[in-house]
Amino acid sequence: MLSGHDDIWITGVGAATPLGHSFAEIAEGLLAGRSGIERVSRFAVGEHPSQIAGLVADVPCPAGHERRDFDRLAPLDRLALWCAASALADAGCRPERSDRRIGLILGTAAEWLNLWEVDRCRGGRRIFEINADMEPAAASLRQRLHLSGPAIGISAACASGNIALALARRWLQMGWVDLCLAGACDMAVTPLCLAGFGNLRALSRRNDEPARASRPFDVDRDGFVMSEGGAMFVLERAEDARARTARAYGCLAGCGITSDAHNMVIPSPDPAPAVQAMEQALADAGLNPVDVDYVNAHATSTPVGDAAEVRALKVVFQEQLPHLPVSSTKSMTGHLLTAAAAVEALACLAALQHRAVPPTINLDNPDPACNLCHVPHVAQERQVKAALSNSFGFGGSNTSIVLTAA
Amino acid sequence: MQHRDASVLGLQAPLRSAVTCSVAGFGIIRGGSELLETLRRNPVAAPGTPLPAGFLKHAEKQTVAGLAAVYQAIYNFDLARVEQRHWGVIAAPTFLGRSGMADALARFAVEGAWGISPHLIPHQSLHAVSGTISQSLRIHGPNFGVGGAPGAVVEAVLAAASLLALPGIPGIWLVLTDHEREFIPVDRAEPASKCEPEPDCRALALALIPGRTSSIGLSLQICPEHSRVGVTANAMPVDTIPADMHGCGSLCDVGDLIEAFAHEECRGSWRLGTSGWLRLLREDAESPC
Repeated sequence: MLSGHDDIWITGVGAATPLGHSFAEIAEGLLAGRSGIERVSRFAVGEHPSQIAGLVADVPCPAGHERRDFDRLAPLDRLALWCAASALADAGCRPERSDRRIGLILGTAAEWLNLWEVDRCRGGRRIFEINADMEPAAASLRQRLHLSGPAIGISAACASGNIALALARRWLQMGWVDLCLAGACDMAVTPLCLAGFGNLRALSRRNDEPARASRPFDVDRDGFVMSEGGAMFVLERAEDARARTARAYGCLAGCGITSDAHNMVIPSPDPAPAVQAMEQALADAGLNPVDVDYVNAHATSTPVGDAAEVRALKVVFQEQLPHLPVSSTKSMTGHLLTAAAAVEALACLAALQHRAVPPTINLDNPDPACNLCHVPHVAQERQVKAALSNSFGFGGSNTSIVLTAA
Repeated sequence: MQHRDASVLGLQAPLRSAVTCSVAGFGIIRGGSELLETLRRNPVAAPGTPLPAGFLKHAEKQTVAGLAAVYQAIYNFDLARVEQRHWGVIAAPTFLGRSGMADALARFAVEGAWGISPHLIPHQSLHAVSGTISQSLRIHGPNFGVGGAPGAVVEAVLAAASLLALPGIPGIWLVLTDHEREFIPVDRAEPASKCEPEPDCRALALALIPGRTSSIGLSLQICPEHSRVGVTANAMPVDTIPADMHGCGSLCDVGDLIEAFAHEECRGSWRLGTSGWLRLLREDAESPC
């Protein structure tokens, strides 16, 4: 069993987002400042307040899996299988031939709602057939990938990915598993979900300019842009990874989790809980604020949320903040909801690997209430040794993780 | 359910990876629509933390039951005196939102996007129960949902054990909810659809604290299990699992166990699905570690 501060490395990444279906593609898209947002054409959106989103088209079938079986899966299961199988392959791990104890923690906030809606849209009646729903996505993924360890599904809304990573790190430190798949997936761009968030007045209505609609920290931001996709990571103890000469994307050095206890959907006006999440993550990593080279902000492009996060960042980073690059990759990917934190962890790994900070695109007129060291429009070359990623979610969750170079 | 004495179950097994925690209190709610509507309109509050009348207006029934179970535990075990500001909340509902989603789908078919409530997603997603409890108790520790389907007990207790092993988490509310049996919601798009009587909603809330320090004399040991799916011969337990173990997968089983245990009627170990196991211990029992 390890102590609480032994290194946990990320040795495999699998992902699918509007910017691509691999770490390399997505990293390249993020650093190129490319938008993945488009007008929704998958279903009729004429009556929806927001008609744009980031979409994942044609999730590939992972090697070693039957195409026919893959096509029969629900969209969320296809996405999760692709991300998890790709991460394992990337890490050079074949569970069916390994005696290592492999666990799984999968973030999915609304898998049943999604499943029932997708089925209903195809003319099905699964929501009325109570015996049709038995096995959640995490359990079926465990079976399909021949994983030998425990598997759980969790949800903290948009913070789910960070909580999955934090729990996986803990399982490794406790000696519960030798290797753990963790991350989150969401296929939420559906007619009801787009309508629900639209009617909540949370979404951008810049329908005529999809690529310019997600504009975190910009004075003209008018809401977030929904998106879909996922990212899964293989985590293992550094000593185990070294022993098998595995490549490391980075080290999951620290995690912090708190709750606002204020409102189900509105961020707390008190920055203290978000501040505590960041401070916990830094303390867990054994770092001081001055050690952080880049912050990937949660910043979704809502007027209230972005400003609230800036207030919390000011408390944590104080006089360092005017010199600390902060960006929101949601300006390119849109807001992947349940999967947002996982995809933003990927963005931080890209910053570590490529020695460059991804930009906030569409940041034409920074909001004076969001005065930060922005990275507008284009990536900034910079050696990143430690990155902090914030993700906050409905239900009041605040999460922060610290990723460092391995 | 068969209850067996601990000594029969090989409790001297080594517990290298088990997390031990104590039950500081528990609450169990079971009720139909009438009770839940009463609770929804008159949400009980812990002393000093009044709730607005409309706090649960849009909440799913399992959220209402889960919160009521928490408050029952607070009152029955005098937990209001315990500082809970930094506790965590883990909730494992079962098919949360089936009824609400059926209604939303029917409305969408008739009214289109305009007919979808903005409250649908925040209150019918997996994290809705934990988020509501966190908010109502002013708890600032982690809160998240787990599982979502039958058999989520194992997922919930493993998640709780992982959090309790972290420094800085002084306690966890573990809340399990479901319906007595899964029921078919009304299909409002189908005129011939029959309205089935809704079964009782059930909720179990456990106040868990690290170590074996509970005043009520009930502890849990939680441990993951490793096995090849469908190949028990290749099972790879991290610990020696007692051979004679009760199966236990549902909220009902755990609720019965806790109640029976509290009344000194049972002790022993229970396998939770295929991913882990749970051992109940009395404070006066000799530690197997």
